[in-house]
Amino acid sequence: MPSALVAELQRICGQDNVFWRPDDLIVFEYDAGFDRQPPSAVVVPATAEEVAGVVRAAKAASVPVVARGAGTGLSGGTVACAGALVVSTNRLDRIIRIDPQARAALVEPGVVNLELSRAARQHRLFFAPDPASQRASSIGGNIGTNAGGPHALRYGSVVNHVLGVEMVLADGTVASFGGRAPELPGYDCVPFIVGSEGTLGIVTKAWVRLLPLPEDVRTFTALFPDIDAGARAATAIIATGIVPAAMEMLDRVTIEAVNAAFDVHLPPEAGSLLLVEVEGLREECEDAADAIGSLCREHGAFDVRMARSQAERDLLWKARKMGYPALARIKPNNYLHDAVVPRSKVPAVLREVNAIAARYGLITANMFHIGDGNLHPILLFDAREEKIERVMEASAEILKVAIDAGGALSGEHGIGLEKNHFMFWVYAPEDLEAMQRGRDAFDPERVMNPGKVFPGGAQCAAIPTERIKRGLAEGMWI
Amino acid sequence: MEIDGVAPRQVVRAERVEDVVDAIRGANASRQAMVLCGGTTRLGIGDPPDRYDICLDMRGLSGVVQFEPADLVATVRAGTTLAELAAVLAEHGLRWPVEAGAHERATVGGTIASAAGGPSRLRYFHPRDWTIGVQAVLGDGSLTRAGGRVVKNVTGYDLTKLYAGSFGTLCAITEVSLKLAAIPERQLTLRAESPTLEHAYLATRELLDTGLPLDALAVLHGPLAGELGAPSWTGVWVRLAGSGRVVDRLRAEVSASLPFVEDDPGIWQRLAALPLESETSLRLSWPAGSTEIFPGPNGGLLYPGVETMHAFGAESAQEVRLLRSVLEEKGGALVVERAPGTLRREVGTWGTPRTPAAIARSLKERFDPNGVLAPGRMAYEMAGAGR
Repeated sequence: MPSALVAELQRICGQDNVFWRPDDLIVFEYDAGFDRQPPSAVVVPATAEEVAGVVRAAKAASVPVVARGAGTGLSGGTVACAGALVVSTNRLDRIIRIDPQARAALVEPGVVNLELSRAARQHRLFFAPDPASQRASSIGGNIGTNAGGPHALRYGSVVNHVLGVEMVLADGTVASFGGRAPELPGYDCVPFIVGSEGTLGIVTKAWVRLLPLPEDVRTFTALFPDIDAGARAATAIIATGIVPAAMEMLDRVTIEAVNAAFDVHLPPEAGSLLLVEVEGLREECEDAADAIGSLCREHGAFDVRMARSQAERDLLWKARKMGYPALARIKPNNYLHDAVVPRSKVPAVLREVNAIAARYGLITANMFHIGDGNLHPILLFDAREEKIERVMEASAEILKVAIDAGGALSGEHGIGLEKNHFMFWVYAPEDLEAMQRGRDAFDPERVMNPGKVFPGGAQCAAIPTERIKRGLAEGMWI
Repeated sequence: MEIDGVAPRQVVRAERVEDVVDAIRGANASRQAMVLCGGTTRLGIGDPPDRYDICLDMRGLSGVVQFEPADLVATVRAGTTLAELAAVLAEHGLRWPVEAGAHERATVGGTIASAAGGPSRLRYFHPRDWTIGVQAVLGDGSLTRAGGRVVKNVTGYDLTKLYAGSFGTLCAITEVSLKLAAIPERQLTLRAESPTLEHAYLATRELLDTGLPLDALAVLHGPLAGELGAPSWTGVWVRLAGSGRVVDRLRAEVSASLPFVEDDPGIWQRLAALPLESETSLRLSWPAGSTEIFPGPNGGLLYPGVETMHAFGAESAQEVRLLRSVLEEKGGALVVERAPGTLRREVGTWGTPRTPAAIARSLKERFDPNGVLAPGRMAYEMAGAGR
């Protein structure tokens, strides 16, 4: 029997847009990570007013609310704890307006990242954040996690590209923050909302910044005998002050996997590969490509190859962005953190990361944003035969190494359920308390996405993987 | 240290972060109103404080804490001036790409806290975009950190960016970690004259529509332009940056729009300082696309592409209200940054805040529970929020 809340949601959004039967909820139990928990119901509103009505109804029923985009998150941020109601933004999918003069677009949260860039291209503009999930992930989710992507190296993460938002607050009111004009008066909550992982409210519209398409793009690969040489080259490039549009590292395991999956013909003899892209004026690209190529050779690159056509470039990026599914050819499951370390520490940290994986007997694949020090050590395993506890333990050790090197828990995936218990590795209690003050200003009853981001909450304690991580966070911190 | 002719009863000089903690704890306990003072270049921006008991002088809290050139990251104390910072970074070919005017006096903390603008906004956007971590003392004296020293970070809320532009009403920023950029190989400043402000605006719009990567762009209109090399009273300045070849190419391209001649690169500091020097200075902003521009009686400094105009000279309260309503209607704003006290009191500094009053009030109450940090300075109270 549907609950009274479900009946009310059906009244607000229509019967077809509310899911409550257990079978219908299965796909909403998880995101792209490993934590699973069914919501009490899922509602798919089509307007901001419907979202507001839904939030009011949930509040009246004392049910917490979790916003969900495409479900491509990797940190459990959209997994519903404490019998929460999931509010899907899938039907809020309009690009309302593109303003070429202001270089801005007004979009709803369900718009797919790549669709926005496609639409902007007609005006010779683009939306810079390009997470690997961009074919599926939504702008709302990108805002929630402050997503990055390879090109965040030059252009910054989503927070650098959101000008204003309309948001449904925890009390069910619709509020707006910021806008297209610069520097509007009042506390600037927009960059605070970006990256808040749905804990402050549900974004229902956003003004995002678009940038002029660069005149020229050069994409090339530099091949190194081993990971260390490639990492040292990347560090040296950044140290000169040249900031490419993107600089990615792929290690041998990854190269083999993407070769097998995509016919991309990366040289299998390479121990590591840097995929570098430079953008800008033709002259700028030529100068930067020359300088980067020379630095790579100085640091042991045995081959530097320029993509000769758009098709070749597209293939390289496809291989990079579809690298995760490609790795499934080796083992069906992978576990991934995205810690960030100071860029000069990347070579040393990578050595430690690989040593940890070896100690646990795990195959590791490294395919990551080396230019900004954002690691993605991917531990490959088979959940049918291997215990996830061990994989999580190895991952926690990797996080510890990154934090000890002066790094951070996550560069772009978010904290969610995945890493919330590790937060006190990075922040003192008063730091976390300051963050809670900001949260409480928006949602004093903490009903928006409870149990996420902050450590120690009881709301998600029933999830088995949560208990493992909590144990690791508490046990390894000495 | 005076604000609107009012001097603080006491000036406390902070040299260590502990001094800031002690001073704020003391003020919090005794409910004394405290204003944070840096280089005082933007101290007067905001509504005059309700009370002004203590000026906490942050200038002694200066210097580099940690600087790893290879990471393109530096951590500095908030009282460090922009000029000091620039000197340290330049030794390694680096810079913090934020120009705020009066860089010999302006502090890094004040620049972030007051969201200072300037020529660098066109290419490098907001100072907060180049600020990756913060140490801050909240209104009750809690010493806290947010963000970190890595250039990409989603580990918890980024309070750094909430504190940017909060004008010392939520916390005292005591230390910041900054993202850095390389000083371009070559920089070239060009100047052109334009017959009218409208002509200049359209010409710069054309330049922007090419999508060329300009490093800075400004239009100055009025008698000040005459003094700075544009006898027609409308001057256009553009800065090009990059490798030699890039700059040559850009120079050829921009010269198709206006008859540019080379100018002194120091002009950008002069321009950026103008809004800080004019007795009356209104900051007008709007979404791009509007062709109406509103200089003040003494002219104005326009940053095309950033869509911000600093209008100079006294207007009547009635005119300011009218202009503000026109701009707000378009989605823009008019902030009275500098003006005689009478005008500011009549029209208010901020206009309609673009943050819901309940949220703004709640933020203030939580970060500064006893309301000791610059009470009355920010828009939240104007929105009808209680004290």
